[in-house]
Amino acid sequence: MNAPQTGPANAITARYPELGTGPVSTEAVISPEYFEKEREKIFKKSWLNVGRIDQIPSPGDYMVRDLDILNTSLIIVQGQDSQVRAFHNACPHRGNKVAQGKGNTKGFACGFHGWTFNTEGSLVFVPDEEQFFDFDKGDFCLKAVNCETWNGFVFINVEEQPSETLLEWVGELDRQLDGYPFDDMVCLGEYRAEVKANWKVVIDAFQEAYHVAFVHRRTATGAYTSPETPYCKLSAVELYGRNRRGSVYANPDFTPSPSAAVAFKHGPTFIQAAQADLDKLPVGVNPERTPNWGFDINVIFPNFRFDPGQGFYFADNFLPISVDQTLYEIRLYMPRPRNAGEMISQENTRVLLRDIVREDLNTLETTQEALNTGVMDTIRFSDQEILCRHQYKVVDDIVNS
Amino acid sequence: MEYTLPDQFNEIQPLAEEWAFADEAARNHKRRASSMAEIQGFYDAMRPQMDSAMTYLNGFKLADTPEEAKTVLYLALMFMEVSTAVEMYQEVDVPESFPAERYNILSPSADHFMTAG
Ligand code: FES
Ligand SMILES: [Fe+2]
Repeated sequence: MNAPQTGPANAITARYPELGTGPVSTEAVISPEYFEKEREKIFKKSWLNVGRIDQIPSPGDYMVRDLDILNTSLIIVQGQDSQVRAFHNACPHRGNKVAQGKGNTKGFACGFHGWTFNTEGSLVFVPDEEQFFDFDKGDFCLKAVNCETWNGFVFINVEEQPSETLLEWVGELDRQLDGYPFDDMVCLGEYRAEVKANWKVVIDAFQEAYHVAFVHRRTATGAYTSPETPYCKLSAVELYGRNRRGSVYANPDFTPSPSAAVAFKHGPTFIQAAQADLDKLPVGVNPERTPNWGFDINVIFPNFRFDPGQGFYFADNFLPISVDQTLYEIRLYMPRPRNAGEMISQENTRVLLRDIVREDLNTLETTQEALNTGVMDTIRFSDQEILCRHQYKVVDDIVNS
Repeated sequence: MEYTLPDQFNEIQPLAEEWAFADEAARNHKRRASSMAEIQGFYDAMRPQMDSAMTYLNGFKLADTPEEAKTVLYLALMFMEVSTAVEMYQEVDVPESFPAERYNILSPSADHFMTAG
């Protein structure tokens, strides 16, 4: 007779039998060969978030994004016609980078021999042009990269002919998030760190709530657990093709710290405003309309997360550098402060989020070190870690296709 | 930089020269460069002033905030900066966390929101 199967009641994973319940090979996070396949089969064929329109809000605003995983440097620029475009940051003369950092410009003048391009990428000036052979400036634009926006988020795709539009890539999440006030908020906090861990090890730390009672025991356990729910839980989990979502439990009855109490008098803080106006939220934001709600986790495959809450959202990028190095970036958005009281109130959230994220990142490098030893050849996921399991499954299916 | 506070904030005047910063990165740096006793002293001095500071500051349009009021604002922001150290850790920095010197703070300055528009 077989031993009785044990497992979680009301399992989420049971709704997705194709994911299985078994262990997952560590090859996916330690193998350089696997990483190269991810580069070729995933990152070179996916819509990748490179930021948000508020980083280049006016015509002529640009930012350079160096994407190691694509072995390229990109210029993201808002043209004088207000359209956002992306170009390879490589001069068609002899290859020099034509832009650095960020700023506002009428065009890009290459620092090597002065070829000059406008913000739409056209070559507009060549010093001593008559020295070239059979030359037509119209033949030498900056090489364009597919670039589209969704709700103000800027995505690029380096495939010549992307298999899907960005809207198709976002898929069901577009309908679920329709109406969320992304544009009514401004970036209040921005942080960046190079983490010595595989990009999936990093994103995994941000798509489960199981760790909250441990990693965040000093900062967030009070707000995100309760006597009835001693381990923070994900609920309303949905897998939408490659993408995924879940809602993070919170306890609105927790006792706020003295500073959070001061802050709440002047504006919404992380948790305390979550219960207001639940019915005004888009259908896919806190879909259960539960007051036990902190925020949602949404992941657009492969490496972009955005987490809407009530009166705030944060968005983060997990940019692979090598098999065990990731550039992590997070930006916090809240309504533009109308007065100093709101600014001070928001500072409470900003500082707390910053401290919490530093806790999140703390375990990742030692995790990667241990995995790199090869001592373990598998890791395992509980029902509550289904979003992580889903990530590995989607990646693995593509890598092995 | 003008550090003279309005009369009603006489009690926190002594804090102004050392603890008032517009930038989150500068505030975090000051926090990490201070001892826990210094942080606790700052927190204890500021906490009873927070409500009146926010009420006072809300009397101005952000874009018209006078210099002496900006110093009050920066001190109030610093109160939030040190709040987690005092209320959650009783340590200067987050215990068991990713190294602060490798976690780059690029957030906009408070001054950014005090310009018109
Ligand atoms: S490489 Fe750019 S002008 Fe020569
Ligand atoms: Fe976390």
